[in-house]
Amino acid sequence: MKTSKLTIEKFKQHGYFADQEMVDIVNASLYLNKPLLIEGPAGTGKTFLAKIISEILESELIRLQCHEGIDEDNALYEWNYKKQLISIQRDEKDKNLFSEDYLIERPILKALNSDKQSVFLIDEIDRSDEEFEALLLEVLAENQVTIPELGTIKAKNENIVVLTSNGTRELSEALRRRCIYFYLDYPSVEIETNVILNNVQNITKEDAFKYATFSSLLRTLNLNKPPSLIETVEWVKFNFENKIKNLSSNLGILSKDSNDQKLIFEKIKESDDIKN
Amino acid sequence: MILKTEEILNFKEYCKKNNLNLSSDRYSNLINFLNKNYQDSKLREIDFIYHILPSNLEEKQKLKNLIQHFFKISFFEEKINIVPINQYDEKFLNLIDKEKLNSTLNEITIDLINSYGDIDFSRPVSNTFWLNKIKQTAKYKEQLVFFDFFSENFLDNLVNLQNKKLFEDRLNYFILEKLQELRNTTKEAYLPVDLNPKEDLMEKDFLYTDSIERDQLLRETKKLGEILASKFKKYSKSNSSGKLLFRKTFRKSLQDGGNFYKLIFKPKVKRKPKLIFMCDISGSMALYSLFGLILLFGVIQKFSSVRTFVFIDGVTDISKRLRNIKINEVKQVLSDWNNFVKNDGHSDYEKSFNELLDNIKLEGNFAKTLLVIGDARNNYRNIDKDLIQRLDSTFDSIYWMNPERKQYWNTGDSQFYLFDEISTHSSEVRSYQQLKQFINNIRLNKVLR
Repeated sequence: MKTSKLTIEKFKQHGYFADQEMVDIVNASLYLNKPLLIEGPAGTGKTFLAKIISEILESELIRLQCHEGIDEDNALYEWNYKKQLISIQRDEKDKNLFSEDYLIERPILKALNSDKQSVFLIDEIDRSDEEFEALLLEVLAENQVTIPELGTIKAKNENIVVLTSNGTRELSEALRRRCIYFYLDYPSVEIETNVILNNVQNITKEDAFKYATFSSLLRTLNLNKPPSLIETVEWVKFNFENKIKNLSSNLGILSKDSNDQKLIFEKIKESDDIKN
Repeated sequence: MILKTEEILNFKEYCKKNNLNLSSDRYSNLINFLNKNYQDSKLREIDFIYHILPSNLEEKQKLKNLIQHFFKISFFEEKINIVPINQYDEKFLNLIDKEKLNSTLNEITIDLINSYGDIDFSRPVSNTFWLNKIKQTAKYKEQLVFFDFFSENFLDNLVNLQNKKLFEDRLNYFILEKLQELRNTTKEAYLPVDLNPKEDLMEKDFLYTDSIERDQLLRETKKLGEILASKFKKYSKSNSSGKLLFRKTFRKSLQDGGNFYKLIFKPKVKRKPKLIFMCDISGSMALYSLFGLILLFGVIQKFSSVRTFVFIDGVTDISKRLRNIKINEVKQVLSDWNNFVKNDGHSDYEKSFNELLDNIKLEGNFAKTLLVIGDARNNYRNIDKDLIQRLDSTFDSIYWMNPERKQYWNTGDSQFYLFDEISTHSSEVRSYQQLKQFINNIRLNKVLR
């Protein structure tokens, strides 16, 4: 890949706060032209990272959302057999029924066929079935697709492939082998401070830092679902802009679980007890 | 490239020796990348070893330790910020500066150890002992005073508390490192076993973990359970192909002028895992049962056909209670002994299993697979041969996790051999690794019915 190196500053210009590790890995995957596999808990900005990469490289983002039962027809290509049937009925016999006229492009094929270099995002690969992974292997390794009736379609450009996973199921070794692996954890206090500063108007750095520390404290509690980055930012935004001083109000934005809310509430109370 | 290729190959050998096998094309990728991309320093290059080589989280964590040992560096600084609030003097300004933080902490550490006086390393106690001694000194407490500022604002207090904890952890870490350094330089020093390279957490006995490690292991186990549940889902789907529903297909075809564009099939029948899970929750077994229960929690919640029983001296069905709770509350359910003790509170395998058999006999279509966690220590009570025969004839397969060390099986009041004879698979399960191996031995397609 002959793209220029990405830096923390470039990410920052597009509103994404990265650390050195992330930038290193993205650079390595761009250089080696290998797919980037991002794994991590929900709400840490995995999908957003792919979007930002496409923005920085000024290329189109083609997205394939995986779900249970996704197959060739949804992801790769499909024959437009209604059109084929009509052709048969019209007696257009000299026409080849398996030509590109009758092919419906699905995201993967679209990514391969696009004229410009594009970022191809395969979102939540762990939701799909294991058989689907095998389907992807050819695209990931060779950057091409073989359609039995038509032959092999090679990519016009060297695409950048990004896969994201929540880790609800173990991905096969064959898939992992072809990727560069990156574990995107909850952000550090430093990054979270920057994100809050960027998103909440008129907040001072000190306040942003305090809120960021608070949310990192929450993540050390034994919660069913630790608050994600977006949830914290929204909560801080609402509380700060409406000048709500009481921390334990509006916990519904921060956590969507009654037991978790109880735990957070107790933690806040605890600090009150020490004071007295 | 500042690093030599030889060095990386040596590192590869070192990884192999430590049970970390990474495919060689990853190494060639790494060398390829480092050759073409110039890095400023050796440390940066080592960074890339850490970034490019691993292919999952487990490998990443293992690699971290190995790199630290092999290259003899500790370049993974944990990212912490210590900004004390409302008080600013010279010391704190040093702490805000990240680069100065480590040197400041180092100074404090040396100061603390020197002021404590002579530390006798020949005494057979570990570093933690001396750390605790140092912690009790007034000077140590002095270091933490500046966090003891309380304002009217909740947030300030919480942030202070968190920072205090971080600072203390960091300082303790520094003191331990320094103590180890001193111990290594002293002659005739006592070198206990636990000072050797740290045991892998994944292979650590659940019983010897501290609360932080235990929480981490529980989280890992939970993930493992989710993976297990998704495996069940996969098997349950691949069973039957649906039949063609002609009537509906025909009706649909009328839209397209009688062409069968769309075929409609009967919905597929899904198989469910039929499984009975028995947990011994008497005192010695409770912790292991907790891990077992967390492991199967995903399966229990997804499929109502999985029944869970706990037993001490009689069985209690807790499947319904487990269905409506979150994973954090499993601990509380297990500690509810008042409802579980039927007789005297000593585990009684014969009575429990008999009760179980009577219980499930009442239902027609019961599960044919039994999964048990227990040490089969029956407190010198008899276990009838009839019971064993009944168990054998009732269940197709019995899986047994025995949390006891294998060398203690069948000693004393343990009557494990009786159950071992009839079980499809039995093994010692005391750690995360063993738990993982155990579930790989379960034949999933047989569990589904």
